[in-house]
Amino acid sequence: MAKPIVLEFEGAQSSFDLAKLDRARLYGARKRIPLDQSGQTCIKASLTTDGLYLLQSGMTAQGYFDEDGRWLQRSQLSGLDVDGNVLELRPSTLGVCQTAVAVDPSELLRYTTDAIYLLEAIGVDGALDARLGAGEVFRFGFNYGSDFHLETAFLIKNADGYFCLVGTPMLPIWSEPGRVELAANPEETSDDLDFEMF
Amino acid sequence: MASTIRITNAAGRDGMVQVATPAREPEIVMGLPGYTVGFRRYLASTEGCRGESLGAKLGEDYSQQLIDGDPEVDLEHVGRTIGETNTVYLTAGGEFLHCPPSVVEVITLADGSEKERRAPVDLDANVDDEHPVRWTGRKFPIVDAVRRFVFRRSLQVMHVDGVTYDFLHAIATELAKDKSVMLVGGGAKGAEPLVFQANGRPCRGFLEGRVDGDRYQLMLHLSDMELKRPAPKEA
Repeated sequence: MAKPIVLEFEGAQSSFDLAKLDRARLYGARKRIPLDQSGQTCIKASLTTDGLYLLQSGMTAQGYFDEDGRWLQRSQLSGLDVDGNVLELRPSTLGVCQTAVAVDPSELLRYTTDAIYLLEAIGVDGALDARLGAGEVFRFGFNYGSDFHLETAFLIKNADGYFCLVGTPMLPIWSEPGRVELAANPEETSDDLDFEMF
Repeated sequence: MASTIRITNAAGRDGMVQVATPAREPEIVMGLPGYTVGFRRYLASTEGCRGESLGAKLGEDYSQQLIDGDPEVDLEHVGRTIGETNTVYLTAGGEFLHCPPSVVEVITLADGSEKERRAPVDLDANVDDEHPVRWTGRKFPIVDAVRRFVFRRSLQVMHVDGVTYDFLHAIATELAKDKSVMLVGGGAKGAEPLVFQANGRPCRGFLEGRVDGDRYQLMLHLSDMELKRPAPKEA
């Protein structure tokens, strides 16, 4: 089991066990399966565009290569920022106390949520719990595993319990009179699943 | 997905506007400082070198032969870069299909158990430049919305001319003033979840507005999930 999320707020610590939550755990899922003439599930494979290779599961791998085509081990590589500077590898924040900061709830709307965790309180400070109960949202640094950047997480509470939302910040532009931005095509969405929210 | 949509305001007036995915911070790349490093997919094994093929060719116990002769490595092919591919389906026996496969839709419950198998049900898109995204009049305070729904995707709604600038700025102003998000929907009455492409994932849409003088940001936040606890598993 993963180490807990440990948070410090106004000098008091709180800790929570976490379990990943996804849509299928709430609503179930819908999946389309191709069947052959005898009703058996088909095997999904890939055919290279030159027709040379029929690739089945386990026949390909991927990796990093230098300019001369030499394979590089991941341990040889570093995270680089846009200017090519080496970034420091940051360890997991689980089990390590992180400072929680109260933020305006609308800040969460400037992030797209990448991961959701259902939290079970191990010990929650009364002051933090009261403010969560009043609808406040708290931000803290989060890395499930080691990574080259520190992700942003939000702690919230509703009638069903405590939740942690890990997100990526969006950078929307301001729309102004007399200036029309040309929208690029948004990325495709995946297609599956049912919807039973309301 | 269309980058142009039609949207209505509180009065039921509609206008054609554009949507775009907001930029994100640049991703961290893996590399060596000062060197060009590429990431690619390559052939790791050929059909004849897979476990099943080796078992059929060399017998069940071929571990020593792997050590002695490396029959699992085809030096002629392994390591070649794999570029674009097309998805193909094979029969359960590994043969090419000579007709399109039939497709069955499997519905599973939240506990992972199978609920039913049925013929696929196609879902039409209901967001495009013909069918408007409708203002429902149902507002949620932001403080409640962020604790009730998971927003995994957001689009920025932007004007395309002076008329739609006024139209969207007014919507953003109203929502910003109320510190609320507005539920928007598809279909004739706006009651349906938004489906941006055929058989795409239905999502509830929520408009959020921010205003800074004559500038505005109008976001369409999409949610396909509530923040709630899964039902307990039955013993």
